[in-house]
Amino acid sequence: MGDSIIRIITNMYTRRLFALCLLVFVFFIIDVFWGLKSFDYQFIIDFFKGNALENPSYTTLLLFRLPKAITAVLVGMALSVSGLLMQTVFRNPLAGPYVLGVSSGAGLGVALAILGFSAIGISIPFGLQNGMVILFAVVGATFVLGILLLVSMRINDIMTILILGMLFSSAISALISILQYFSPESSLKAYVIWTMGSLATVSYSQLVWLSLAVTFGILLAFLKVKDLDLMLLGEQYAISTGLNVKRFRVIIFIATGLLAGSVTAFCGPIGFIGVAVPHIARIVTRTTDHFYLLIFSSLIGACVVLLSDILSQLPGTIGVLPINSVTALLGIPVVVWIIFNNHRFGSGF
Amino acid sequence: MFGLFLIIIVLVPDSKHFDMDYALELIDLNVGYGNKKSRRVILSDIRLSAASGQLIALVGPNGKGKSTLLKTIGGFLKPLEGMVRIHGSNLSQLTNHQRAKLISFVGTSHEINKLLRVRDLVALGRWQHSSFLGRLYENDQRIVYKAMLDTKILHLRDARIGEISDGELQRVLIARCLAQDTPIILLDEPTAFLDIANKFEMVDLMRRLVRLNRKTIIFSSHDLPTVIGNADLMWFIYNRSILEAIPEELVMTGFLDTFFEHSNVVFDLVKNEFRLNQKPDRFVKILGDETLVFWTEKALLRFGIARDNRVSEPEIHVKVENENILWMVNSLDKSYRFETLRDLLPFIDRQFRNKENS
Repeated sequence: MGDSIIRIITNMYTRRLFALCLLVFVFFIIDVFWGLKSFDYQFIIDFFKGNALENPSYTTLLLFRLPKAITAVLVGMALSVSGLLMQTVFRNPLAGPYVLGVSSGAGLGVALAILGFSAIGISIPFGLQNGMVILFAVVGATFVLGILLLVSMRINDIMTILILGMLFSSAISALISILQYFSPESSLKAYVIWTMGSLATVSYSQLVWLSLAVTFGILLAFLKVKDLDLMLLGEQYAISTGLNVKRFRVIIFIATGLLAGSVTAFCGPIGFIGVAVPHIARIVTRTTDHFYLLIFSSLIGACVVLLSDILSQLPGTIGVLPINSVTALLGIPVVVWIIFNNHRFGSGF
Repeated sequence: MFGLFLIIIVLVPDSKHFDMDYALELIDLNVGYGNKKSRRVILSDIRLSAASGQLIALVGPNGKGKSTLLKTIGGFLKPLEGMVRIHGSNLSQLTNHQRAKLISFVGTSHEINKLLRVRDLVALGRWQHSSFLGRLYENDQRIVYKAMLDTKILHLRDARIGEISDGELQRVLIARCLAQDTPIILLDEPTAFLDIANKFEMVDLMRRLVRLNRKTIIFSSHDLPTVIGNADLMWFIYNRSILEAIPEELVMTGFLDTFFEHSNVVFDLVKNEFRLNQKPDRFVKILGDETLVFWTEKALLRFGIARDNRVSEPEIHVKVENENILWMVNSLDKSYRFETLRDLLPFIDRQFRNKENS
């Protein structure tokens, strides 16, 4: 690894990397402080001096703003990295974290937790609801991922796996629709709100689990940097160069499941980040080297989700907008811009 | 005494060749597709071997199993029966990793990311030897550089794959094989989509690699004129199996006429080309400079008119006058003069038709 560290320090990406880190830091500070009731310079100075304990905003900051901003960073990193992995493995510029059906699996779990129990007349105590949702989402995502892993070990053709993943997602969506049809209004609304995504529901203890899953997933991705680079030649050449493609695929799917699955479980399905950010990373770095693409994707992802969160809670607006709408409104112009301005990058696959 | 010593020196390296130390052996091989329940055998009872330093052309009509055999040798398909042995070890028992040290492959369809740069693609040939994050060590960088030098693509090294031509891409992919440094290289239709100049460059490249780098190269082709005179050995698909011959031998025995089994195509022994087996029934006498006569005859053949200087008329005399080509025709006791083939060809054709109608 020594040689790569030297490369990081000496090569041309260093400045861009530094600028990005700065941007993440600035967005993070803005996301934490901006819009607080007693937000002013004095508060920030007091906060860093440790004199703000008496200020009512301090509690808001510590209990809500800070975990939310940390969640935003983790979500951005996880979705962008898993999107990059899927785009490379499926050789498809429109692939994203959810092509494996992880989010619909989690959705089915959550639908069962929110809608299913109320439909059969069992009501879950309010305090347990959040935990139940996460548990069921994890079970659902793992279930779908497991099936896709089994399938992918038997099937050689990657396009078949892509199609199976999409069909599977559709089937699960159909199941969810049936559940929705038979459920009472109140729980239906709870489910719909879950599908809009939220960064605010993650507590500190849950944050530990989320960050563990994301760290492990990104670590797995970095372990496979070399193999990801080789996959740019297509599967046939990857095999003839000596890669065990099936084993590689399983590891990448597990990494994606960890990243996208944990994010969906804790925050709901957050769209467009995973598809758009890897493209931004390619444009910024102009490289096909996955070592840099992974680093830049995760940092840009963190920036974009922080920015989305800032926009969703802009002071002066009514309440807080659903994060999913904001990421879509931010992400879609990016994708459109890519299509119109960067044919080369779009047709690289 | 010194002479004897010299003879020994010359003979010793060559003696290896006679040891039957084959790089590649195909032993009672059946290739095709299928599993335990149903199988489709494409080629059967293949018993062949190849030595280092041999350029082998795998020829046969389209859809008769060239790619299937290459895929089996390359390890992408399991043999239905029999064994592929490479430097003494059974291909089926090798891991992907081990096999990639013995055989490299260039296929016909490429799913390569078009943003990849040429140098990065060639460097991926050293994939097995690169660091944990895919970085090359100094020695490997040298190998990659030499691979690009040998295939004459150094000037392209910073170009992206989407920006280079088909012929250049073939070279880049072969450079990758050289970087992978395998004793055996398989090329599926390397000349298929290339123009004449690129085709000859490609053949020249293969010959150089075989001679200088002592590689065993097996390439499939349906382009016999390119194969003959360049390949050391020809493996040709015959009767659902594969026979081996030295290309020139096949030409001399007239075997090539059976190459396209059911069609009306014959191989012209003299001209090293295939042509439709037309039996002309109209003949003309053509006189003049050899080259001009040759091409005039070639044009007339399209009308079913062949040259036979025993007939007395029509008589065509080709010559160069004031740097222009002229055709003087004597037919039915009249003389005509033509300055272009465009005028000549329909005229001759009409002459014969008039004769046939009357």
